[in-house]
Amino acid sequence: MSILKEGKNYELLNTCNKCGFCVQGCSVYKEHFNEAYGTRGRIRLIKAVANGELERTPLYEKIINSCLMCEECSKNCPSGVQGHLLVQMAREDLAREKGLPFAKKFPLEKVLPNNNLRKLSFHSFRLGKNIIPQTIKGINIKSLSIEKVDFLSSYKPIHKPENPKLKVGFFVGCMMNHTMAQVANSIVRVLTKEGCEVVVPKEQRCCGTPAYVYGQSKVTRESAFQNLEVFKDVDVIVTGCASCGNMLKSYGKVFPEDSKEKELVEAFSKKVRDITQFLVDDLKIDLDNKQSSLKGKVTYHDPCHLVRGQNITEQPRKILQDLKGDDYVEMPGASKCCGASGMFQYFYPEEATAISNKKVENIKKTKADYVVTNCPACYQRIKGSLEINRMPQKVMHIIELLDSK
Amino acid sequence: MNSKQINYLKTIVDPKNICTTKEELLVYEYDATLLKGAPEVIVFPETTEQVSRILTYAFQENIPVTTRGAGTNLSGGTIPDQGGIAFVLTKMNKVLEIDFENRVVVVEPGTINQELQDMLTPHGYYYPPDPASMKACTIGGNVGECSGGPRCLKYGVTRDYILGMEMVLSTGEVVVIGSKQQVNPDPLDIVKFMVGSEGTLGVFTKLFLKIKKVSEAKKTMLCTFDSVKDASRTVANIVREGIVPTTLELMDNLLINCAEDFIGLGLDRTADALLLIEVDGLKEELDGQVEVIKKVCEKNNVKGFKIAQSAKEVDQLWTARRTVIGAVARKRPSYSMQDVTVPRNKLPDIVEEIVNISEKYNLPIGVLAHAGDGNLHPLVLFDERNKEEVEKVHEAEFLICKKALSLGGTLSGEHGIGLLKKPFLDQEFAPEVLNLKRKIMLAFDSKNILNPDKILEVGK
Ligand SMILES: Cc1cc2nc3c(=O)[nH]c(=O)nc-3n(C[C@H](O)[C@H](O)[C@H](O)COP(=O)(O)OP(=O)(O)OC[C@H]3O[C@@H](n4cnc5c(N)ncnc54)[C@H](O)[C@@H]3O)c2cc1C
Ligand code: SF4
Ligand code: SF4
Ligand code: SF4
Repeated sequence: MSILKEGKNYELLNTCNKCGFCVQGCSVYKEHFNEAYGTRGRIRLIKAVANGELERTPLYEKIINSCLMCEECSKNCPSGVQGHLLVQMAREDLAREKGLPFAKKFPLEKVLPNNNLRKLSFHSFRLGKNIIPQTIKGINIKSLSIEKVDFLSSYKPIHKPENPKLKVGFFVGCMMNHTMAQVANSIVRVLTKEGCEVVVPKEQRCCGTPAYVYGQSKVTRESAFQNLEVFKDVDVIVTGCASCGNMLKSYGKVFPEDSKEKELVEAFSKKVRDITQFLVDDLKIDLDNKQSSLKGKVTYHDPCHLVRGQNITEQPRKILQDLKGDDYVEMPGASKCCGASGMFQYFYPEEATAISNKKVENIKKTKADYVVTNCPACYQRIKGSLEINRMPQKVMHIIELLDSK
Repeated sequence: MNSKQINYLKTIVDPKNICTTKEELLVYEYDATLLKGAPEVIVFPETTEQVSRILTYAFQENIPVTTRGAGTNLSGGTIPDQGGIAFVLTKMNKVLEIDFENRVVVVEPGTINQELQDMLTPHGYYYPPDPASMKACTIGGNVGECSGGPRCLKYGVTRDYILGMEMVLSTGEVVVIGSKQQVNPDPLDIVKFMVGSEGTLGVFTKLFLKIKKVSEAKKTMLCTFDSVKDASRTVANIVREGIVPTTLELMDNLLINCAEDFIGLGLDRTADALLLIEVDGLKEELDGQVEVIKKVCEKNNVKGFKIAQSAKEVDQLWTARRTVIGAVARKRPSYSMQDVTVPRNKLPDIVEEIVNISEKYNLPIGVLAHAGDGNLHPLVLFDERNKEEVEKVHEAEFLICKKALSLGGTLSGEHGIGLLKKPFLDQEFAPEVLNLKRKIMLAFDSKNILNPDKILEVGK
């Protein structure tokens, strides 16, 4: 039996009462104006497959895969339908019933979860970049700087403060590890300066987001166990990647109800914090007397997996507003998806480019000098899109403002 | 439809705007009701000329055309139950002109109500019709249904804000009726006629709308009561005092609890009824009005009376109100919403009857009302997969409608007739009136191809 028909799943599919409140918030719908690409339509089709009215056709697959997992629909649904989770379920069903195409399966199952293979592939990508064009499918490949040696391989523990307040485990995440080692180092420095002992387990594994969103929960479950193990004796786990944080905090959803494993990972999840959340809510760092490392106008982009995934909006803004020396402006549509969404940008370049261009337009309206965000994937996408549009703004990870060297 | 016809359509619009795949037909077979009926082809026109050419062809070939905006209507008005073309206007969605001096905007029909509001807000203006679905629905659909919202007690419904339109007739002729002037000198006002026509008289391609300046000040009050009776008496009394609030919304206990589950505002879960009252106007007038309202509430045994203190609080109250229908739907997999209107002073009677019906059929029924106009939305909760329960829902709704009519009310406040309320129509209108309506519809659409047999069985 297809998982779509399983009791609770099927019940979830039937809770949508087709009011249409979710449709206009769906960025992908807004590129098509065709309901098949909006949440309500997707849910209708998943239900059709569950009921046997529709085969798992290539068009169905396209419709199911062209979802950003931005969670906008789930936030907007008054009936509490979690549109993005239904799409995830449909992908899980597709992966089981039809299998994933090699282009997705290989990286998801074999490369990302394996620390050595992952390193090798980022490394060859870095070398390959020199011989390929500036952009591929609207993705600014050249602007993506891949570290020669990734953060985890080069990291040397720094002095721990005397009488540390807390023992903090730093979860770096693949994207930051391979493309933003300087940001990862900033996080460690800032946390240490604020009186924490920071540990960086080298054997930490990809959080499992990419596998999860393409319906490979099995791989995510393995990641969860490994991360549980390597972070077992810290007080808190801090990350500077919105997607990682979202996944780590919700590992419970990839395990069966009432299972022992679920209980275990949920205890782990309780200890996870986004870096801004940790600094503002837990450490309550004194921002009033701190100088921002930037001068000029800054604006902020809310990563989907932070604003909706983790309900974090105020903490980063508090940092930006309270720091001295910079001038904060809110951008219109700050919380709309930037268009990256992992492999989405590669498989749906037209939609992704249009969505990113809307973000660029909104950035333009703020007349800001800097765009600050809190997720390496958004960071790279926005940076690439700004460059393609020949815009002068610099993109920064929020921690870089706090790390005045 | 045959492939020759479909291929011909592809010569009129970009082939990517013609959809015939099973997947796409499946997502255009429904709207916000439980009804279904699949089109044979979906067409997304992008210009008035394309609309005109498509209709010319449909007329010639006798193809049914079901016009659709966002498909959020609650009466089955966009179900293509006779097949043919689902004519979806979502790609014609530009705001063409905003003229603050003359307080007129010109929009294409696919413009989303909320998106228009978002463009007006920074300038201190707004478009008064505010259906709870405003984030989701199109202006074309609003005009098609003559939609109203909480604000319409004071400011009126869609009909009061339409100055004119460009429209395509079933023969493909393009006509402009009304004008951008605030005063319409035409004594035989066809524009008003088109509002609420549910896609049966023509396809709107441009709409000229009136906008208003935001009032200087407003006050939002939240009042709870131990009985629906007290709340509805309060409503009647406030109006009798000569005060016209912008909003007088009533929610019963079930709705209060659902809103609380979704938004968590700290509403009184034990209250039997809640009134959301908003007044606007000049700053100095408002305190006096609030005083009067408070007195009326007290006279009617108000339990809690609270004035929202911050813009954020007001916002949250409104979000709670706009989303409460969906929030109720969390209780059971399906809901069905009626849209009856009774004279204001009859509110307690109809509510009492609804409570009885709910008990008799053992179905949860929540009551939401634009109490100021006596417009009620009883929400019946059930599971559409349970055939027996569905039967009970039909019976319960029939009784509610009957009661509303016997109290001197009507069957449709603002959601239209479409397919859903067709069966009740001959209880509300005399046969001669229905006949007259039929003739008017045929005068516009002689072949009955535009949303055929919606509202009324027209025949050919
Ligand atoms: C949860 C919920 C709450 C709601 N709350 C309210 C409310 O408070 N007040 C209210 O009035 N309604 C409400 N509605 C009903 C609905 O949202 C409105 O009727 C809305 O105006 C429909 O707009 P739409 O774009 O979805 O139109 P559609 O549903 O697509 O179409 C509605 C009708 O208009 C016709 N039509 C659409 N576009 C055109 C055009 N360009 N030319 C000619 N005919 C056209 C269609 O044929 C159809 O008959 C609610 C609906 C839901 C689901
Ligand atoms: S997912 Fe929610 S918002 Fe979207 S149509 Fe279904 S019930 Fe409405
Ligand atoms: S998660 Fe985002 S892209 Fe996917 S259906 Fe929901 S709103 Fe659309
Ligand atoms: S979500 Fe984070 S850890 Fe996971 S793949 Fe993306 S960057 Fe890596």
